[in-house]
Amino acid sequence: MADQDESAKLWKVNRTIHELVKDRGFQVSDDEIHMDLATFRSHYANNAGSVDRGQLNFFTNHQNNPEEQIFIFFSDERSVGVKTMRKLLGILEEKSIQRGIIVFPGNMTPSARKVIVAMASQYKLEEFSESDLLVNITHHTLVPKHELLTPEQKKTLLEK
Amino acid sequence: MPPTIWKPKPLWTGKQIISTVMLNITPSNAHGLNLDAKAKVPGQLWGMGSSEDKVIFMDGELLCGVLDKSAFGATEYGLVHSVYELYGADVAGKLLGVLSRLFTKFLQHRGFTCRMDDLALTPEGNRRREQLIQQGINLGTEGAIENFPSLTTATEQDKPGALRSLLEDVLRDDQKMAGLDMTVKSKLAKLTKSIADAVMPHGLLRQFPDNHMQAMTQSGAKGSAVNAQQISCALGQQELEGRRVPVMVSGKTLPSFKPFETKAIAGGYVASRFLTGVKPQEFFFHCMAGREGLIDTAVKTSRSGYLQRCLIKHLEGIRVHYDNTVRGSDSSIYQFHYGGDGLDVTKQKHLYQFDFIAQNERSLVNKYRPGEIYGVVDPQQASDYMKKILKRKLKSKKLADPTLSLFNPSRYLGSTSEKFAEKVDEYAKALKAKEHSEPPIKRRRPTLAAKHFRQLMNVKYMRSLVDPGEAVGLLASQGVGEPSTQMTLNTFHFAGHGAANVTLGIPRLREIVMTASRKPKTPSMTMAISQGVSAEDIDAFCKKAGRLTLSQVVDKVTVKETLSVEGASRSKEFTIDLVFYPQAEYEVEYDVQPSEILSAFGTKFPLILKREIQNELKKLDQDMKTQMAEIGRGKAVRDQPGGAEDADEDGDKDTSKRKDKDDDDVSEIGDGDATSAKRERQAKEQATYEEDEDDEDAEDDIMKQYDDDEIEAAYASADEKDDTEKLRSVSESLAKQASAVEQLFMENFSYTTSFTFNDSGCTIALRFGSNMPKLLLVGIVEKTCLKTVIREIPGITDCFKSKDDKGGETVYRLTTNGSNIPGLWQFACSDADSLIDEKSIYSNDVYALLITYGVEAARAAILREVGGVFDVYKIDVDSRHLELIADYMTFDGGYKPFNRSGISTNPSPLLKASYETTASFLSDATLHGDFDDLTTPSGNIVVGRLNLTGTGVFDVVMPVEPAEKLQGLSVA
Repeated sequence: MADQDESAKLWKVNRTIHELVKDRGFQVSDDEIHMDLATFRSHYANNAGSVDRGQLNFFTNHQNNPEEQIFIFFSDERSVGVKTMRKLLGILEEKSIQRGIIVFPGNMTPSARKVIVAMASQYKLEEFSESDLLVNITHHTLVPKHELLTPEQKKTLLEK
Repeated sequence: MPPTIWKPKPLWTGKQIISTVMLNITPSNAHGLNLDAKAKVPGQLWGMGSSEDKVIFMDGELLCGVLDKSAFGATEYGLVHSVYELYGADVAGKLLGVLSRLFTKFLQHRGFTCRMDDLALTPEGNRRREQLIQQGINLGTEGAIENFPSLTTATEQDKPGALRSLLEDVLRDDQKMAGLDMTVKSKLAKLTKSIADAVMPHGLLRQFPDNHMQAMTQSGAKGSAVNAQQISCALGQQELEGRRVPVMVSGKTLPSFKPFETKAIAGGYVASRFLTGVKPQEFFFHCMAGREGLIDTAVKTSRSGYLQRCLIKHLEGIRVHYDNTVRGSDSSIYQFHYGGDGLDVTKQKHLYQFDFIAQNERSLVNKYRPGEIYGVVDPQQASDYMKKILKRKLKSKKLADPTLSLFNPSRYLGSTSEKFAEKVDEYAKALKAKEHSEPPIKRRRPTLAAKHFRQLMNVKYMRSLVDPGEAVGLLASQGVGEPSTQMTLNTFHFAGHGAANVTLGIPRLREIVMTASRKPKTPSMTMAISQGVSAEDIDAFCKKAGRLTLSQVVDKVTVKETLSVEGASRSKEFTIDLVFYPQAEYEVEYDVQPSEILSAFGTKFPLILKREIQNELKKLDQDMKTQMAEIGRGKAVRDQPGGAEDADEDGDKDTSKRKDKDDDDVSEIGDGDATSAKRERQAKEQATYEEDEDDEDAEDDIMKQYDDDEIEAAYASADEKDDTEKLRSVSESLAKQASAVEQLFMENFSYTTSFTFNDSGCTIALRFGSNMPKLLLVGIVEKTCLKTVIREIPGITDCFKSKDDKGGETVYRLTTNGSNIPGLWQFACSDADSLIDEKSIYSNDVYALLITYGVEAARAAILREVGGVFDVYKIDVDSRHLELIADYMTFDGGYKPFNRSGISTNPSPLLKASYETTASFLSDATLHGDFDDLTTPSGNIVVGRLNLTGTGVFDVVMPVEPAEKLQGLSVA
């Protein structure tokens, strides 16, 4: 029961994070977003039903600028510490990716948060808890579509 | 105007008098008024098939209809409003003056009276009223029985006895009392309504046109249907603070009733009427309710006054600028266009009344003179663009920049809001269609061409824009502040059966607006159910989502105390027997398994029990100490013989009372409900308490924290253990689990000697040293049961469904008491297909929405919540006002309250100082070298300058000669 729950949860988290990455302007195929639970299970879940989070990691390119890449890292540990962060940074360095998102199931230690701030000049890192990604908040009826203004749009707006 | 009747002598009709008035006030350059409106009095009251309820003016002549409140009262789109719209303020004022004098004259000639037989019922009516009251004589008791589901199965003979014991139970619990009040009240409301319905128009001795009382209420002159009903039908249920009449400790509401009387009259239901008199008890209850009403008005004036002042102080600087933006006094933009469309609240009233506009096209053309603006504004560009984007909108969903943002609406004709443009388009198309299809009837005037209509509407939109300098902030705060004076102070509202109890009225308004409360008093969530979910599933979901405490499954608690001797040491042994309800019963009722109950016993129960016992012991100890101290002093402040127990209880009560007082607002101390004697006693008590209060509190806090931490830590570890247990084998027998729990239980509560558990109950044995003070363990265990939660979503107490009828199909919605959005996600979305539509989760807790969904959602929630408060009272507040308030509150991305902390973001020290805590704001400004640029109204008033709002926005600026030139002149 518990395992099934987990795969369902992770399936939702996976969907939301793909939507999120897409909203950020990176290339994400529709298959990945609309994957149904059965396919998700067959892909990522092992025989016992538990999901290996390491397999969920993925990276993708920006739609406009293929050189800009983003890496999404699913943490296995319940609480993310500096060690996990190092692991992520290692991967980022290895693949020379500038942006990263870390998704963790439990909570994040303050020192790990500090790493994000410390590395802000080199890497653009973001963190999300799995429980926050169960639901995509941008789909809520009260939330309008948010669009980032491009620099030109910003200029015209401020000139008005 | 020629008379309607010539013979035997010339006579004019009443409608002709009105027509004459209209003829005389219509300005020479305008045409007669055309108006289709509805009267307040229903047409059939004048006789079958009468069309007197349709007020029709044609070319300034009243052709049909009766003029009543909806024509010249405070009703939208009535006669006076229409005249104002067409001919302007002067003429409308004249019309009101003429009408006033005309009606006074009429009353002087004809007179008007209301007499007894306007109020009396026909014998048949009286008979039916009596009959209904007779039928309803047992409704009070029936309602009481209905309130207790357990009574439905009881036999007729058992019922009275069982009911009485249940009622005695209810008396001690305010919550249950409220529930009982609700059920009985809703039952009796039906009776009141049925009496009124049976009798009201047709059972009256005199029928409408001859019945002057009815003439007054129906036409809206004075009084309402309720007044008439109270006189001729029944007064109905008397309410105090939204409840029935309170019950005394004796179980009676008045000495003349039996204890636990269930009859409606004992609960304050008045079945008598004013016409024939009310019974003494009924009169007393009615006076109670009336008195409360008076107190309410006296109290609420200050509350709503302060609310309005807070709003005004925060919003006073906000005004419309020449570029149509709404800005604060420091030029920070709150809205790009006022209300999203840049329209003035008062001027836009008739903007969507297309029929009216089309009928009175010629007068309007005279008023607005579209010809004059040609050459001044750009007539084409904006309209073309609008056409383009409307077309595009039909094709694809992608949104283009709105017209208003590209073309300044005051300079480009046709730059209107998209909504308006769409509506105009639709109407114009209908006009065109009518033009072609209509049979060729000869008309005095050709119908309006669609093209002209469009043009006229665009001009009208332009003329309805807000004027630059309009102090819209002030308007918003007054627009909200004034209606709030009409709301009754303490109203509670129940939505459906046993449903959420929501704070309303001024308290709720204060909560949303003034304190921007992060923890609303009555949080609640609503969400829609996904399509195609069966009702049973929803019920199961509701059961699962609600909080279930141990006390809900425990039927009986018994404690046995024995003293045992083991060698030299004596020890007290307690055996606690918890008996559950039958397994089948609680499984059906709460959908809970014995194993779930058992797991609650693992950690939560023993730890809470431990804390309760510790608290109790400490209290006993404390009490002993104070008592000992008092013996020496011989003071009889609260000397109560009867041993530790009584004193303990007393002390308990006192502390809680004191805590309540402490919690209360400082401002509310002077409320006057405490008599001087009481205060004196409290002061004395204070002295005794003060000594050890500090260290006790500190100790308490530490203890509590420690305990909480402990429980949490223990619980977390238990969780892990549970998990591993579950992993090992799901089908593990209950007994095995029980033994595991026993281990855990003992670990967590060291006094335990044994613990056994089965489906129907559990037994716990405890052993204490003999020096333990006497403990009343039953109470403690009961309390512990109440606190031990078997299953919950934190923050949510219960959950129930409600039906919504939307266009024939029923949509189920879920409502919860308590709010916890992330918790609900966890709970509801962990399955593959979630039962609820997570996109529609809504909470009345604005702050929670802000945290989870962001500012835009919070802004929408403020709009909805404030709007909801006014909706309950059927008060119409323009959305522009609410939008401005919501925009102000969410301006800096947070949830800014309308109070002292909220105003600190304002840059003007003079404004802040004129609000509250003058000295502190002034000293802050001095310390930080703050300055005031005198752009706020407050700042300007302080120095005696003209405000920068309204007509004060502009200045006459003269070209000044350069200084050297002037000097040169003076030298020469």
